[in-house]
Amino acid sequence: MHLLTRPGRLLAALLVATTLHAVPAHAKTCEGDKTARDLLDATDDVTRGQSSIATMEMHVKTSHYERTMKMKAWSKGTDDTLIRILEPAKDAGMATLKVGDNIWNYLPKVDRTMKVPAGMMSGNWMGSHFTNDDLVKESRLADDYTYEFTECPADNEDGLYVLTLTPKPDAPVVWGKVVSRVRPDEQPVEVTYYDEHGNLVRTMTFEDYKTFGDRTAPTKMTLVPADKPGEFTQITYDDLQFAADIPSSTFTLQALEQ
Amino acid sequence: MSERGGAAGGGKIAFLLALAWRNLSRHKRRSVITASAMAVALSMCMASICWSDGTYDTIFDVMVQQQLGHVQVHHPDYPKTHGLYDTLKDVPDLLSTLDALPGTRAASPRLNGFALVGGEKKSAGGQIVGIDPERERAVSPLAKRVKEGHFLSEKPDHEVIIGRGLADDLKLGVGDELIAVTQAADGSLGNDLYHVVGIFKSGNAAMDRSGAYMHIDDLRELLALPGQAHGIQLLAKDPEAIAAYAEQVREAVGGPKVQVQTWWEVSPQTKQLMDTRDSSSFLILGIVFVVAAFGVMNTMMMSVFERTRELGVLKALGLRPGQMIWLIVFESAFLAVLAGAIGLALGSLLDWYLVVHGIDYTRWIADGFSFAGVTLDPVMKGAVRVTGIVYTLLSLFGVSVLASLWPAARAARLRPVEAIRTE
Repeated sequence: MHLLTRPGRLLAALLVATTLHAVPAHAKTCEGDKTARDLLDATDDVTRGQSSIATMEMHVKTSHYERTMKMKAWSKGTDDTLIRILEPAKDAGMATLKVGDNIWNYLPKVDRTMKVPAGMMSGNWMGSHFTNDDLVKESRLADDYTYEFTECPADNEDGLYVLTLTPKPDAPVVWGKVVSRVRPDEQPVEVTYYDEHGNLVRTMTFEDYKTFGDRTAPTKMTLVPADKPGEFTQITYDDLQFAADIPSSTFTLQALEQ
Repeated sequence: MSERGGAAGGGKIAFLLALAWRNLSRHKRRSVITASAMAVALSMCMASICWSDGTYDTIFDVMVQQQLGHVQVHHPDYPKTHGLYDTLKDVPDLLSTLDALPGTRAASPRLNGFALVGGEKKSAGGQIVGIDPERERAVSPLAKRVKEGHFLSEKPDHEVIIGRGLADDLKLGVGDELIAVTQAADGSLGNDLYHVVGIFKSGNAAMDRSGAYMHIDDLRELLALPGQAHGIQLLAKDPEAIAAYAEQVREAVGGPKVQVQTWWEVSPQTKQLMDTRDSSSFLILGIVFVVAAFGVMNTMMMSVFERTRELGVLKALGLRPGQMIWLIVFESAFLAVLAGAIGLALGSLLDWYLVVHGIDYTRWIADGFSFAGVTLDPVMKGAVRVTGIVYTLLSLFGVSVLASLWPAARAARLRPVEAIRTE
């Protein structure tokens, strides 16, 4: 669905929303032509447009260490992503390839590629607060969750749409609830993640919206775990090119090891 | 007889002893049979204590000395969290302090990490334990449990030995390369290449299934934990004085970041297990001795009945009831001494066999006993403790004397006139 063109996706979303199951009977509706699905997809697209090349900096602070990495990421749709570490020197050349549900890490020091086994998907990615699962699952919010508006822009001071997502009965997801706040111009502001008991687990905030070509996107994202005070992972985009033409060969094991 | 009766006033005890000995030697066959039965009971007791002590020692060795050490030093939070960061710092300094303590027999540091380990094709999560190979030899038989290849070199050289299960899972053999990837303490993705130099079957089920050992310095580098360890296992010179040794260690290195615990503080479950065994073996010994006591009592009772006439004559000649009791008790004591000598010889032979050859359970359980995640060797060897033998001998003596009291009382109550008439 993500491969459809924008109007195509809108149509598809409308079809899904009206003919299938996604919208509960009592669902709140907001004025305007935006559906919950639209806004969700927009959030997804912020960093993973249909194709994008990004240069970014990841700053991780934990109670034990603080480190900054520079990296370059190529992504195509939500299925394929390649991230290459540029700095620091110790980690330079490391790369992560994500195709569908699988993740491989390339380790230049030993010149080997290792697939992350299913049992380690919940482990963190490169020492950050992101998990390997985040790389895989985040792209399918709209597939694994039912979603509805819980607030319209008119309902709150900030003028934001508030979407609440609850997992579908058999969805293989880790969250009990996800709440997403989106600006009327489809820019994400904040996503909060809760466990199955409704306790806040982590918060992701978006800031510094900038325009790249014909598209606008936040350039700073901060992930704050709720149970570890003072810790966070912050990603800052230095450069972002949308709709770049990336050949499929970029997302192969051969390319990973280059 | 009358002369000796007259001597009873002065050398009463000597006279009764001589009389007891004479009585025994006049009934050689009965005396020998009784003494032999007691000797067999004694030797069986010695053998069962030897076997039981050997089993205990084996379990103590595997579950306590190898798994836990006598005393452990670690970060106070580590036992609860098993956290990567809950380490002891400046471990080389700590080790030299510990080595210098008079009660220390051996000290071995351990660093624990969890990593994604892989071969050419497959990868799996595995527990990696960093050890100092030279020191580890002194606290555990790990080096001897390497079934293929060899143990780690004393200097760090990117060598690794892996559990049989992990080797099978990853299709790795001696000489192959192993990659380890893990979240290092500084946040980086620690990764390195190691040579598989050995495959072990240590008896620790978890390690055999998915564990690996490497030089602690190699693991320190992989985990970015220079000079650190999650724990130090200590063996005391005197395994009977572990609590005192722990106190010594506590005074030397204990502090807010350094906790010192005895093995039973580390693992109360293991302590419970060992205690259960203690009481159950006492029960077995108790039963054996009760049986022996009834044997002695029966024999002495029979011999008193058989000698009713003879004892009656002694009484008629002036032996008082108190002296009669002593006579029977002395007879029994002589038997016990005799039985003790024969039993000790026979028991020593059995003990020697158990200690040297042991009992081989391989026929029934080829892979050894699995016990709380630990596998014991299928050949169970005996162990001899001098105190155990001394207690057994003293018990035999005590039980024999006690068991003779009732027959002795019967003999003391004999009425000479009736007794003499008995056929």
